Amino acid sequence: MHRIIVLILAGALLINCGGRRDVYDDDLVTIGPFPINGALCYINRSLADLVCLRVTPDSVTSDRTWLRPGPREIIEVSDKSRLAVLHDDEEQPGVALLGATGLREMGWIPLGEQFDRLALAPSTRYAIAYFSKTAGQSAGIRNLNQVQVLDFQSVGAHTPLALQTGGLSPLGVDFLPAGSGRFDNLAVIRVDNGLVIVDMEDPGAQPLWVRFTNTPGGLAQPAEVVFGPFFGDGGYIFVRLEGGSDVLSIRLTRDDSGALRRSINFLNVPAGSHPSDLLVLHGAGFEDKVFVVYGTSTGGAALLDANAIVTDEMSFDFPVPVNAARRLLGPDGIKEFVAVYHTNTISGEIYVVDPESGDTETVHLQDAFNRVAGPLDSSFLVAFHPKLGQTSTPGLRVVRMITLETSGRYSHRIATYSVDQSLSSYTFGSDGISMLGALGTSEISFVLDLETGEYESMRLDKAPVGVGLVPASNWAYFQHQNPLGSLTFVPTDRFDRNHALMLEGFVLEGLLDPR
Amino acid sequence: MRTSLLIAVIGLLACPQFSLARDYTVSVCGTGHVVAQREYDPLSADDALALAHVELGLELEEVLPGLSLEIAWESGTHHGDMFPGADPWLDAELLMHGMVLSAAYRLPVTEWMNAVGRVGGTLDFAELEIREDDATLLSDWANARLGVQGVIGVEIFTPRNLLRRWFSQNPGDPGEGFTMGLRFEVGWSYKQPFVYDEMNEPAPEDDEVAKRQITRAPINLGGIHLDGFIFRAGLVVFF
Repeated sequence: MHRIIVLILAGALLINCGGRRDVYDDDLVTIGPFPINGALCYINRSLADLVCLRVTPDSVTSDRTWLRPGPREIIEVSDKSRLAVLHDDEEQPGVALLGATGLREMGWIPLGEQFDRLALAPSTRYAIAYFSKTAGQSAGIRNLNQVQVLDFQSVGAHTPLALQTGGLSPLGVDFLPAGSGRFDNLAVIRVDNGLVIVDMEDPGAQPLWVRFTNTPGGLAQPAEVVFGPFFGDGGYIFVRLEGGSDVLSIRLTRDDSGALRRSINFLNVPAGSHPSDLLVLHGAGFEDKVFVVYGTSTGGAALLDANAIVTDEMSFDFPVPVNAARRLLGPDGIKEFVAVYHTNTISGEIYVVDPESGDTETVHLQDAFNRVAGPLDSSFLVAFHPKLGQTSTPGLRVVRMITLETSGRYSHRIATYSVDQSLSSYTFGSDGISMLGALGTSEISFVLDLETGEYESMRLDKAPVGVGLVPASNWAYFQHQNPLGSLTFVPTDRFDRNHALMLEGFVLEGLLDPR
Repeated sequence: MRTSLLIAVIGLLACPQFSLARDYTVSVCGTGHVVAQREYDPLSADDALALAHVELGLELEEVLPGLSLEIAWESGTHHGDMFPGADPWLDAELLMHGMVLSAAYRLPVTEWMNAVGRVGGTLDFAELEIREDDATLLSDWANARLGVQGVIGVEIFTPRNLLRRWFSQNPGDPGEGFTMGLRFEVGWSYKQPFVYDEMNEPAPEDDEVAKRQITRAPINLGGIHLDGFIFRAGLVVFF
């Protein structure tokens, strides 16, 4: 009898000696949210899966998809018909292409290197994979200056480029805006001592270099790159260097063979000052101009002409320091203005500059503000005040450009809102007139119509730490602190608790289903 | 209904024909359950599930000598850690209660040992809770699943006539009467999968607060099979 028992025990032990995979003994690492078309997705690096919360007009559903090892980043490519997932697995680094609807893998691009980031071109056809200084270092050796140009149209097409800058990994990647004609699909890679301009349609061609001369104090690092409109035979790229005293204007053209050519001009700002922000205007007549804000003992800004020998076409002096500029539209949505301000001012003033006439209007907000934001390409600005008047109540002021009925002149109106706490997070709707916000620890959220001043507020069940909008839907979401995932979804057109829906712990979706 | 059933059972047991010379057993055991399925991996690093097992057996001599009908209650809690590398540290707790109704067949080998085989059906309830500081996901108790299990083993007990001698009684049938001993058995348990597709935060204790809450959408964790090898050992008393 005892032999039988021993045999059964031995058999049972053999059957059960598998143990569990190491993934359950490592850290739980989740990355997200990644807003994609009609959904919000989270990468679970520990289990190598993707949890997507999909919104329908009336509800939110969740689903889980297995990924290859080492998922790190997800972007929508090929006109949102596919998702590209960057994997930095030591054995198999690469990019997986998934169908946007079924999330089934449709292709695999092996990269050979564990890249940190994917930068997507506006056309959504190309992307640049690169190492990032801010990302965590993977194990093993890495060629920090190498990038890969990915073409999602021909699956698997990827071209390595060794930049050989001598510096560290790229600082970032910018792309020329869509609709730049023959200059579409140009990537501008910011590196420690220059720019590398890559034609992604012809990645095998030699990239165009713009090298900066390092200063005795350190590297000449590009801090900001903005693009003027490109059409016909070329356009301008404007660059502000970290700690630099000039603005670089790079005229980019193509020769008869289609090869890229460049010429560089230095645009001067007043001696002793440093540019702090650049802005390009979209209107006719501003194609070769850049608006630059610079710091002096007071404040100054200028509209610089990229071609002129005397570049200072129009300059502005302000009584207080300024360091930022924002494009603002008139109520017709066409007329352009520039709002100039200091991002952390005690003066409470914003200067609205008409770049055509040079007229400046001062917007007196009465209180110090520490942030200015607004919807893109809109006639609204929102200033965030830590305190309103003599009270300790924080507040918002919405500045709106208007046309005066009597004179037809442009002016502005200001609406003041008090909030019981500073905003922990906010975002603006794609309609350009709505603002969604969440207040610190008070669990209050609101949606504000910037045009009419009407608002709806709602108490959430937990304090929000982030807010956003689900693309291609009418749903807003509020993130809450919870490593297992915690979100409240609410339709922006039915902004109340009855229509809100909360999901907790969704990172563990499908945890018990084996791979 | 339950009262009627109880009266019927008591009546049946009180019936002379039924109760005449009827032996019964009481067991208190520990069951070690080694779960073979991979779905259980997140909840347990060692695949183990320990259960307490209390069993009452009635001999059905008139049907077949050595045959018994047994009913048992099994219960246990398993704590497991997930992702303990750093924060967050997730504690998974599986709380299980079950009934086992089985038929056992005893084959006397010696005066002090029986070989035993058992085949039974199970009805189990398993609640799952996953905790991380103040974040908790909890299933409900609606998760009832059927299963079957089969075990073989031995019962080693004090020979009855030895006990009679100790208590200055006359020797009698060595296969009948009071004695006690140990039981050891091994086997396999198969259960329908427990599905945890309605995981939610525990509802607030205050009903008013619960009513005011924003609607929660449940999370689907998937399901687990708790099939696997079982080892059971414990005390058995024969009456």
